[in-house]
Order: sequence, then C-alpha cells, then structure tokens
Amino acid sequence: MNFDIRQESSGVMNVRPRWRKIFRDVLSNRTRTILVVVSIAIGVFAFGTIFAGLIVVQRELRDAYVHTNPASGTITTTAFDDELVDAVAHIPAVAHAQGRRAVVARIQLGPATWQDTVLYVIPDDGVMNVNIVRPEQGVWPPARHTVLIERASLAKAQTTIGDTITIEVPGQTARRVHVAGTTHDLSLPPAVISGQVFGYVDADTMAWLGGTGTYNQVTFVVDGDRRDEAHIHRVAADVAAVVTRSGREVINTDVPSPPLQHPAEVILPTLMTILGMLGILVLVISTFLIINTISAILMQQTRQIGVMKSIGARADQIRAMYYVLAMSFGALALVIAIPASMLGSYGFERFIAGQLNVDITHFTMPPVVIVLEVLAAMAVPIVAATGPIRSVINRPAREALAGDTTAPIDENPIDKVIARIRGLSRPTRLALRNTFRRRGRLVRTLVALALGGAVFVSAMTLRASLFVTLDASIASQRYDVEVQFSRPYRAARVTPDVMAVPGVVTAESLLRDVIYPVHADGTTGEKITLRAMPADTTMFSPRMVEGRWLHPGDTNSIVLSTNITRKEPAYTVGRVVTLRIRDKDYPMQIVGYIEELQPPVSPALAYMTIDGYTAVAGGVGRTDTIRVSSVGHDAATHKALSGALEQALTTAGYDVRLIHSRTEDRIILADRFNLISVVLSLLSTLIAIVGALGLAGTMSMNVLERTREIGIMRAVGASDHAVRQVIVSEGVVIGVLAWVLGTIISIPMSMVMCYGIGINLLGTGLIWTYALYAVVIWLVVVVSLAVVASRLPARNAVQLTVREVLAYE
Amino acid sequence: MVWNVFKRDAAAVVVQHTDDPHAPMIALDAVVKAYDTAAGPYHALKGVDVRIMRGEFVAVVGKSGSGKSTLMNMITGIDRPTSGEVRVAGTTITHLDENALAMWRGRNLGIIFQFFQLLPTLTVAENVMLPMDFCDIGDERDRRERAMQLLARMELREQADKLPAALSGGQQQRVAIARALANDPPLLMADEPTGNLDSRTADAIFRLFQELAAQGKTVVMVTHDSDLARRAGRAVTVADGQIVTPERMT
Repeated sequence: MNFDIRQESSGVMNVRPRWRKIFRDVLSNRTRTILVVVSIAIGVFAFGTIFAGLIVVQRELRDAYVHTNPASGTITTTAFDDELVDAVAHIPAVAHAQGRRAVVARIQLGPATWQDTVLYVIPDDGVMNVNIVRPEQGVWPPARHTVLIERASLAKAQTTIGDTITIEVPGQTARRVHVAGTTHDLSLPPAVISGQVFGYVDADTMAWLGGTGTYNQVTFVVDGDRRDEAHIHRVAADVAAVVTRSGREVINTDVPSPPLQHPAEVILPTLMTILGMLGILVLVISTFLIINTISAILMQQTRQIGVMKSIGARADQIRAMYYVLAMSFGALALVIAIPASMLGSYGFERFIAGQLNVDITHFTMPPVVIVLEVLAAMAVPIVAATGPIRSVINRPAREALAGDTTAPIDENPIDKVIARIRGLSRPTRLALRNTFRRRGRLVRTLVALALGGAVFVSAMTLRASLFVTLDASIASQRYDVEVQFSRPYRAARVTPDVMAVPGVVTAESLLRDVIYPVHADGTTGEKITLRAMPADTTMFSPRMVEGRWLHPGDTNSIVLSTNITRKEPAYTVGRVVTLRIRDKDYPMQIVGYIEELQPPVSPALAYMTIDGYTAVAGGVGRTDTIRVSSVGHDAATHKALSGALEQALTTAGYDVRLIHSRTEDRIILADRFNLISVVLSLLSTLIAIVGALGLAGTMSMNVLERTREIGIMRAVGASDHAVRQVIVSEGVVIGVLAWVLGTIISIPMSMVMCYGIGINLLGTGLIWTYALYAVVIWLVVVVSLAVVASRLPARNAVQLTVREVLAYE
Repeated sequence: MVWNVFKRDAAAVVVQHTDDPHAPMIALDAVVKAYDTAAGPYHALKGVDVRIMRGEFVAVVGKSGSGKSTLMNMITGIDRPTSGEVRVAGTTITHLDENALAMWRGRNLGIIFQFFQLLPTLTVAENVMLPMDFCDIGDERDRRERAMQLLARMELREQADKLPAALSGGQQQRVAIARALANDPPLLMADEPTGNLDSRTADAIFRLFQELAAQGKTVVMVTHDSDLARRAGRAVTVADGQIVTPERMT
C-alpha cells in the first residue's frame, strides 16, 4: 500500500495526514461507525458461525466415527457363535470380524407406558473391534443382570445411572435391571432420530431376560481400502460364502454406501447448503447497508473531496483513502466478528453435536473460516464502496466543490400520487415525499429489510410446513393406537379381545416384516419395513405421489415410500423388482409411491395386501399388529387406551412387544424438527437485527442530510411534534413498504425452502403452509423497529436550535 | 482493480512548459463558457482574453453572477472552457484530464476559498501538510517543519495542533493561506477570501497577499469589494461574462 507509517524520533507514530483524516473520520461519527461495523460484524458472525460449526461437526463426526472402526459390512444369518466369527476373521481380506445380536425389548416408563428399546449383547470381556461401543460412565463391561444405556437415549429411558428399570423382552417375564452406566455408540442413529432406547447387556443377562444370547449378525471390516465399495462387496461375498459353508443361510448382506459415513452425516450437506445460504444472505443484506452508509459519507464529504482535488490530490489517492475507510469498517467488524463467531460456532457445534450424539473433542476455529471471514469482512465494504466511490471521484472538481450532491427534486409520479391523496396532513405528505427522495438508498434499505422479513416469514413458514406435513402424515394413519405383538396370533382370536377393551371403536389386523431388495448380482440392499394390510384398510389413508394404492386381489404388487429412491434409484412405478421375503426371492411390481414422513436414516416402508403377503410368506388368518381407533383422539385418551390395552392383552396372555399411539409418534417426529427450527429462528433474529440497523442507519443519514431543511421547517413554525412526526412517519412508511415487499418475496422463497428441506431431510416435499401469523408478527416488528430506528434521529433533530440547524454545513 | 488504487498513477502528464520569464503567468484566449440550463444555454464567459504577469497582484471584481468565479475556475482548472485556451504557469491546461489537472494544481497553484474549506478532522498543521502529502513533496519530517514555518509566518504556530473548529474565521483563513503556500506554488488564487471576515481581519489578510505578491508570487483575488480591489496591483472587472476594465493600474 502507498501509505507510509514511520516512527518519529520522539517515538510517536507518524502517519500521513490523509490517513489521519480517514481514521478520524471513522472515529468521529461513532454512531454511524457502530452501525456499519455491527452490520458487517453480524453478517460475518452468522457466516463464520455456520460454516465453522458445520465444518467442525462434520470433521468431528467423521473422526469419531472412524475411531469406532465402523463395519464395512454386516451379514445377517441364523444363530451362530464365536467359531464362525473366527472363521470370518481368518478370511485374508478381512481385518476384523465380530458377532452381534440385537434383541427388541421395551422399558417400562409408567404403569402402562413402555418405551421401544433395542438391547445389544456385548462380549463378556468387553473387547470390541468393530462398531466399537465406548464406555461413557459406570462399569464396563456390563456386569451380570445390569444394563448400560446409550447416553443419548438415557433421557428417553427416563432413568439415571444407579436406578433400576423394568425391561421386558417380548413374550418373556419383565425383569428389574440395574442401570450400571452409559455408553457412547456412534454406529447408531441418534435417539432423537430413531425414537428408540439402546441398551447393552452381556450374554448371560440376555438369556436371563429371555432373549437369545447367541449372535445372528457378523460384522466385518475389510483389509485394504475401506472406502472402495467394489472391494467391500467382493469381501462381503467371501464372508457370505464362509457363512453358507457353515450350514447357515445368509438372510441379508448390508454394505453401507458410501462406506465410513455416519448415518446422520447424510443431513449435513443439506444443512450446510441451507444455513450457508442464509449466512451469505445476512452478508448480502449488510452489504446493502454499507453501500448506503458509504454513499452517505461520500456525499457528505463531496466538498472535502473537491478541496483535496483542488490542492493536488489525484483520483487514485482519494480512491485509496476511501477504500481504506471502507476496509477500516471491515477491520473493526472483524475485531467483533472473529471472537463472536468462535463463541457462536462453539455453541452451534455443541448444539448440533448434541443432536447427532457426537463429542467435539477439540474445539478449533477452522483456519479456512477465519480466512473467509477476513475476506468477507474486507470484501463486503470494498464491494459496497466501489460504486459510491467511483460516482463521487468521477465528479468534476467544480461540482465536487459545490458540495451539494442531492439530486434536484423534480416532481415524479409518486409525488403526483401523494398530492392526490386527500385527508393527509402536511407533515405526513412531506414524510411520504421524503421517503422517495433518495431512491437508491430507499431501494437498498427496502431490499435489506424486505429480505430480512422474507427470511423471517419463510423460516416460520418452513416451521409451520414441517408440522403440517407431520400432522398430515400422522393423520394419514387413521388409527389411534397400534399394538405390536412379539409373535403372530390368530386374528380371529385377537380382534374380539381387543374390541372388548373399553374405548375401542374399531380394530384392524395386519402383519409386519422386514424384506430386502435383491439386486441383479445377487446382493441385497438395505432393509425395508413391510406392512401387510387389507387393501381397503380404514386405518391408513395413503398420500399417493405416483401410481396407485393397493387393490383387493393384488398379489405381487407393492407400494413403497418415496425415500426408497435414495437407496434404490432404479425403482420406478411399474417396474418389477425382486424382493427377499422370509429368505426367498419374489418378483414384485411397484404399483405406487406414497409420501411418508421419514428421516433419511430410517428404513423405507413397503405395503402389500395382507392376502398377497400371506400367499408368499404364509400366516393366513394371523396377525402380529392390531390397529385400533378410539372415540377420542387426544393424548389423554390415547394414553388411557394404551394402558387399558396393555393390561387387557397382557392379562389375556399375549406377548405384547410395543404399544404406541399417534400422539406419541407425533412427539417423536416433532423432536426431529427442533434442530432446524431453532437454527432458523436464530438466523431470522440475526437478519431482523441487521435489517433494523440498516433502517436506523438510513433514518439517521436522511435526518442528518436534511438538518438544514428541518431548521427551515422550525424557523417557519414547525413544532417539535411536527418535526418528529415527519421523521417517524418516513421510517414507518419505509418499514411498511419493506413489509409488503418482504411478504411478496417470502412466498416463492418459502416454497423453495420447503421443497429443498423436505426433499433433503425427509425425502418428500413439505406441504407448503404459508405462515400468515408470521406476516402479522413481522408487520408489528418492522413498524416497531421503524419507530425505534427513527425516534433517535428525530430526537436529535428536535434538540437542535434553529440557529445551529441553519448554520449546518 | 481495487489494487490499482494504491498504485501511483503512472500516466504521464503532458504539459507544454515554458521557462520564459517574460511569458504571462496566466493567459486566457477567447475563453467561452456556456452552461446548459432549463431555459437554454447560459454564457457565463463570452470570449474572455486575459493576461496576468508573474508577480502581479490582480483583483477580479464584478457583481454576483458577472462571471468572475467562472473566470477563476477557468484559471484553476476546476472547470473547463467551452472554447478558447487557458495557459497558466507555462502549461496549457485546457486539454489536461482531471487527474493531470489535480497534479498540476498541487505543484503550481494554491487556492484559497471564501469558506476556508479546511478539513475538519485534521489539525491545523495537518491541513497545511496535506498538499505536500498528496504531491509527495519532502518526507514527513520536512512536511511538518515546513507547515510549522508557514504557520509561524501566519502567526499561528501555537494553534498548530488544534482542529479548525477551534479557530476564528480570520485564523482559519490564514491557515488556508498557509495550506495554499505549502507546495510553494508560483500562483495563488483566492476566491472571495475576505468575504466571510470582518473588515479588520479582511484588511490583515489583504496585506498578507500584498506581501506575498511583493515576494514574487502571482496573486489573483476574486472579490466583490471594490475598495479592496482598488488596493490591488490591478483590477480586472468582469461584467456580463466579459472583461470591461482590463488595464487600469492603481
């Protein structure tokens, strides 16, 4: 740079006068400097916080996940012991192998309230080498007749270490088990997404509970490139061959794609894109405000620029001065933004990490984010200043010396419209005209404030749409309570028993299963949860996206949830696919797709007619799930009915696996939206603050530039009230215009957000539900902001004496 | 590019310079200045010819709207003639671009304004140092030293580190004169320098101009005060865009 900062012999920093001018300009108008600096700082803070947070969470999630030595693949088979595990471990391309057993159970939360739970069997010595579960607190490995709970699901289990809880493996006696500690298991989806509790017991405890202690899954880690899917598939085939040679049948081969990716990581790119765009939007909004401020500074200093030109300043020297002025704002903003974003990203990371059940082991601000923050903080004011600087510098010296840069006020169409409006007071008329005097500034203020409003309304619309979509999804399930049994019973026996429970209006029986897509090469895809129900079901009202629902008489037809396409992109309506049901492969035609609210980590859902299913899988006239409708549909009725069903069916000797109601399902699903709701609300608040700062800046600039005009108004008899009315009315007019514009922008903006977030997070577009309440809230907020933002300049204006005001240069 | 603004403008300033001591310091030939107005073109200068020699102290007088400030703007290069040629300090400035004009002004003339036009956030000394800073004359120590000398000459040494707002009108105008002298230009142009001062202060400022002229500076002072004009070496009266009394000597 061209400026020369030297030490005088006295030791006092000696800076060229031109730079002293600029630094004093920055410091002389503190309110203006604070407004600009805070605007830039908020933009950089939001941008830095979001990017640092997401980068660190992604990095930590990946690191932590890799340290659990995640399985390259999992093969499900029939019961086996350590002998088969050893055989798999001796395959040359297998680095590690381990047996696993997961048993579905439930934990009693209240007299008739149970929590869906999965229990894992831990090796007796506690040594794990695949999908390593880390002990968190308490004793490791779990002692006999004790359980360890995965830390993220502790709250769902409503217990603490040292407590004793009741665990029931379906069909077995419920037993009191001591909670001996907690674990951290990154191989599982976070409890907030799964809605399940995960527990860990040793083989003896599992047998004591009545579950099977032997393994049914072999997990393995390949030797060599653990990211090479083709290699993993080849090794999986070798493992499957070993399993088959041992006399067992391979039920399913699961190779995660892409390898080494935590299940929850799939949502991070979407989060990063959406939040990153919002962060950039905050920066863009602050850019508009900085353009306004720097334009105002340059306009106020036009005469000074003329004087500098007249005493020999070249255009490039003046340009450099004002770029340095702009960058000074950026540098000051960085002083606030960098530490603030460090703190912000720390909080943001903790929040997201908490949701994803990952620890942030070392908090560091990624250097790339700091570099981006510096670039943004410097680039934003430079970009914002370029237009105004060029405009003023290119002004001939004579015009610059004339100083007055306000465009001559000629009558425009808006003035004519204002003139025609009857019943307006003179000050209001003046306020309306003033609003449109600096049109460039007005447009930038409006755009900034309108974008703020649009993001606020869109965020609220997104939130409303998430919940409306959730409610629609819940509503498509027409049952009130679902009872799942541990094994099938004769429907003719169960249904009357269920109907006999007070409060039950109707009951419908269905069958559940887990099936697998079979690929052309013989490998299987990820599991699909199957529901076999009557085609004319009264308990389910599917929201069809494509194709049709099941018809009575459909045998080899299947309806799928849309999230299958993420895992099986070739699956289209009309296509005949091979599905593995009960260890046998069947061709099935996909007849339709339904919308079902499912996070990306959840298995896809499939529906078949119960007749079609029993034709291939057997079990005619049997049921393992009963759906019940009740008289009332509220949470209290659901809770009471769940309790009554639990009691009646248990007493009647049924092995009840799980009873859950629609209201409970809604709570579990709603939990999943907290993350996005909280983050969007925080960003909306930030954007509103930036918009308010912009309005405050605009109003103070407008008032400052009209100081002389205000003096003339007062000299000709305008009261303080009249002056205040003119200024505040102008602010309110800008606020209302921004509200109208923001409301219009929010419609397409919220549609895009709802579609993008719906597709990426839930695999289905959301039901766009415009948040009219947010429009009203934003009107109140923006008018209040306008009044507050213009009250201060108005107060300053009325405090000046007529003499001071008229002497203003 | 943004980076370019920090580079010294490398474009050469084309000046036609003469060292002829007998050549006029200011020579305007058939200078016309017309402005476009809503009522049609307005001729502020109508073919003006002026010669001002080195070391002269010339007062340009005329009523408001007569064209005297336009004439001053032509000489300083602050405005451009519609036609005609302006030659100042040996340079034909008519065809210089804005940048070249600024550089030329910094080296060749000092301008004094009616409202002083000191930069409010700079101290008195810093205001005086500013032209030297822009024209890269001397180093920072030299500039400070010269500024202090000039302020001492204006009897303002004690005020050097004050902001202009702390000074009286007369003191501010003397700071403006010190600033105009900072780069030691051969020509001083003053636009109504006493217009905003009381008569006693105005008289002191006028005497300062006389001293500077006596030391060899060419001083051109635009004024509407005929008494002061009479005391200058020569008065040029402008009326209706034309020079009406070019040759009267006091």
